[in-house]
Amino acid sequence: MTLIEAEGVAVRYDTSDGWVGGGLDLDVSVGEVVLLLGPSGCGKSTLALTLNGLVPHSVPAELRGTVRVAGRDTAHHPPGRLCDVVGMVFQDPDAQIVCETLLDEVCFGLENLLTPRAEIEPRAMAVLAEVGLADTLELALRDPTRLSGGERQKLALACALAPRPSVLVLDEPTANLDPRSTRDFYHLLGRVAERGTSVILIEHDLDDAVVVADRVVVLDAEGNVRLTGTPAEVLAGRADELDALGVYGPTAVQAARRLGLYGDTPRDAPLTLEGLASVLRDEAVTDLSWGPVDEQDAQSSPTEIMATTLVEVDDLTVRLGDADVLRGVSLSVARGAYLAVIGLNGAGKSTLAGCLAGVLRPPPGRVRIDGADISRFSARELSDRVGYVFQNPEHQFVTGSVAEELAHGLFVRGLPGAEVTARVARMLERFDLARYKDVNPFMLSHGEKRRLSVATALICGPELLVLDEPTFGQDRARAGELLTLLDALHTAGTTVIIVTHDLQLVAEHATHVAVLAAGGLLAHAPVERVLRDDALLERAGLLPPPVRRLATALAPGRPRWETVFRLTDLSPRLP
Amino acid sequence: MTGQSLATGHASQTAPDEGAAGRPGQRPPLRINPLAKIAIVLPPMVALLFVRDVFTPLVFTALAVTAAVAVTRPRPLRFLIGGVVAAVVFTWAVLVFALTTAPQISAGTQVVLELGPLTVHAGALESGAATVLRVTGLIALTVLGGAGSSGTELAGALVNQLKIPYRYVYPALVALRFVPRLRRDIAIVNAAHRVRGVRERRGPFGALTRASHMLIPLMAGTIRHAERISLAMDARGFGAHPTREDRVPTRFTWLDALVMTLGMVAVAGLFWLSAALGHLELVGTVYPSK
Repeated sequence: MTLIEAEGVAVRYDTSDGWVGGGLDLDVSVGEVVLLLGPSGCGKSTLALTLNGLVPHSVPAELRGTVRVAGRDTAHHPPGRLCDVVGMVFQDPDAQIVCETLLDEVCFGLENLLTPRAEIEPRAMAVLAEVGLADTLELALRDPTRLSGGERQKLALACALAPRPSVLVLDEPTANLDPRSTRDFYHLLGRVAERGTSVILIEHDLDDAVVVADRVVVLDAEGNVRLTGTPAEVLAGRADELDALGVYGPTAVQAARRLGLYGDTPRDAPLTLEGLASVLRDEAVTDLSWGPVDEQDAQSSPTEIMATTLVEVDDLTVRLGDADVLRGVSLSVARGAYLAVIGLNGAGKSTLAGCLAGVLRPPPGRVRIDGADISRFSARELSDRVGYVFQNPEHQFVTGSVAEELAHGLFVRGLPGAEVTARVARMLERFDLARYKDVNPFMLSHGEKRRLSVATALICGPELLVLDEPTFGQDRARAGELLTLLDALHTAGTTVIIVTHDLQLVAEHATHVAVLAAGGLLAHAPVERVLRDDALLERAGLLPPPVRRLATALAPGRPRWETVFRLTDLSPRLP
Repeated sequence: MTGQSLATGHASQTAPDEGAAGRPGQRPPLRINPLAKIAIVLPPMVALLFVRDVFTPLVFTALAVTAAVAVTRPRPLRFLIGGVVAAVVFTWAVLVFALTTAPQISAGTQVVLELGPLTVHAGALESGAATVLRVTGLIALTVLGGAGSSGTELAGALVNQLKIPYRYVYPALVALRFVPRLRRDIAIVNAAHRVRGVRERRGPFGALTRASHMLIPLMAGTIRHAERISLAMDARGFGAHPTREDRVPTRFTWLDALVMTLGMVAVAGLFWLSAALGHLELVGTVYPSK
């Protein structure tokens, strides 16, 4: 039985002349879990908004084509008349909470829908218990703002489930979560889907999401359905087409392809790491000539050339309010290093990065760059030495055009106009921003804003670049673009410090890792030592990167796997 | 900071915070309608604007401080430090207001302090103290009037008792929650702009340009957040029907009426006491005069 019928859907927002989506058709059956993929800006989120009538009723936009959910035409049913059939969960956990307690939050929707008074609280309590947030009234009366991001997304799911919808629409629900919370969230969603609720899921990190999906639908950049089929058919069988669209498959498929296990079209490649591990354990397959790269073949670590110290942190303690955000952290960052700072939320990562870049004023004498005390630097001296890229690039824009934005730091330095013009022109070219030079920075796309923020941080020629969660909330293609840029800068000699949750990213790019837990430094060592130390990561509350988890599963009896943690560690062994 | 609870990776197991503990059980038997409390404090707040003596606002301030100490039970050291800080701030504020008091008000009264060119008359001191206490009295009444009411309850009371449409009340409640978020954003933008250095001239024009540059990212962020919240609310049926069910509707009971009447009588009594003791001074304007 068909639950959702979308026919010829295209949307034009009132703020724009162009149409999003090229007349898209999509049917979803009762109980089906559909994973919707596609490059940035292809209209996935717009489609999601049409499914419960937010487009065209709440968002000023024109809808072409028809969308029917459980027989109701969404063009004639506002969201309020659809939320008993469609529940929605958005990306940002902060932007979905409107009440003062978890219980009030879940009751909010039921109260809006005029649910009989006596039913509201029991239903809300049942849903809160189901998502594992509260099984007592005391827990249900907690303040939602005190929850972690992962818990808040579970709360958003509980709110969507309370009116007992037949279909859930989730738009990148884990994009702002750490890997462990993401895994928890998909376990929960899997249980919900098993009870027969249909799901339409937009997600870019597929490792956990793929387990719950029955069908994968891939849109192309124009918003047409390009591929549709079972997860195996699409994600493994059409992997090269996904590459061309800029959609990244699950880590297991990427790993299988690198190992050359299934040729160019890894049709039968497993989609999960567990699945891949069991294939690789299989006797018949172990005879094949593949395996991890030998240690000596692996990319030579540039550790040896880093002799001099650039940043020195000595017993740094930072108090904010009543709590020590950092406690006695000491580390020295070598010139030319690519350091990743990792740890759970609240471990002190951003505070440490802020102190290293002088964005937060560390106590005198605790942080030195090239031997000079960072707490004594003026803004000008600081930006000569350190470029800092904020998590939200918009926060650091101070002028009205891209070119002025780049020129700002140079003018502050009092450089002559001719030199400023020349350097700005070079930077515009290098970061592919020349055609936007007179555009207001706020009008750029997110990826372009990010490039501009990196360019402004670099234009004064600092030796050190610090980035606070630069890939947060972005899809893999956008993140990949930035990481390629950072690799190029690092190769050219810039010292890079990056705060991130994505340990596979750390594995592929960083040379060193600093692990923080509850404000203390657990370790600071070359990347291979940290990411191969499962016990250390466990102490920090972190999940090892996916490739490392695969290797750990295979290591017993296969010593070559013991050292593997990067995708680039995997390749077909040459005869 | 969510650090402490997350350190274990199981934040859900942390003890319930004080915010929730303040509302034990769903609706304890003795809950006063927020509107009753507001009705008690509103008349004296208006009256205080026209009061010019020291005694009357002092009574309300003392009442609020006593109530706050009784409820929060601070540790002795904290209480002492708080007291000293309050005394210093109070003295400083009184001096500032005394020095800015118009000379004709204090003319002819005794000189209590002479510091070089500065002369402070007793009349100026009294007028300064009255001004500062008037402000603290207003703050105290605001706090007393809001004590023990949650935002949800107030919203419920506005909808159920004052019959204000819920479609206006709840968004206002949500907008109040933007304040901490905005404060955090201001701190970040401020830091971001500080590290990038400033090109603007010093002085008021430079400061104005800087402020306008900060405003754009703040506005952009806040509008985007507001749009997201509004979509999330619509998606959960907000505004779908002309009315909305209230799972525990606020009521205005005989008890509320009784508390309100007693409170109003008590307030009137305090004003009467002040007048009977010969302290109460009322004027016809809100500006300082004598």
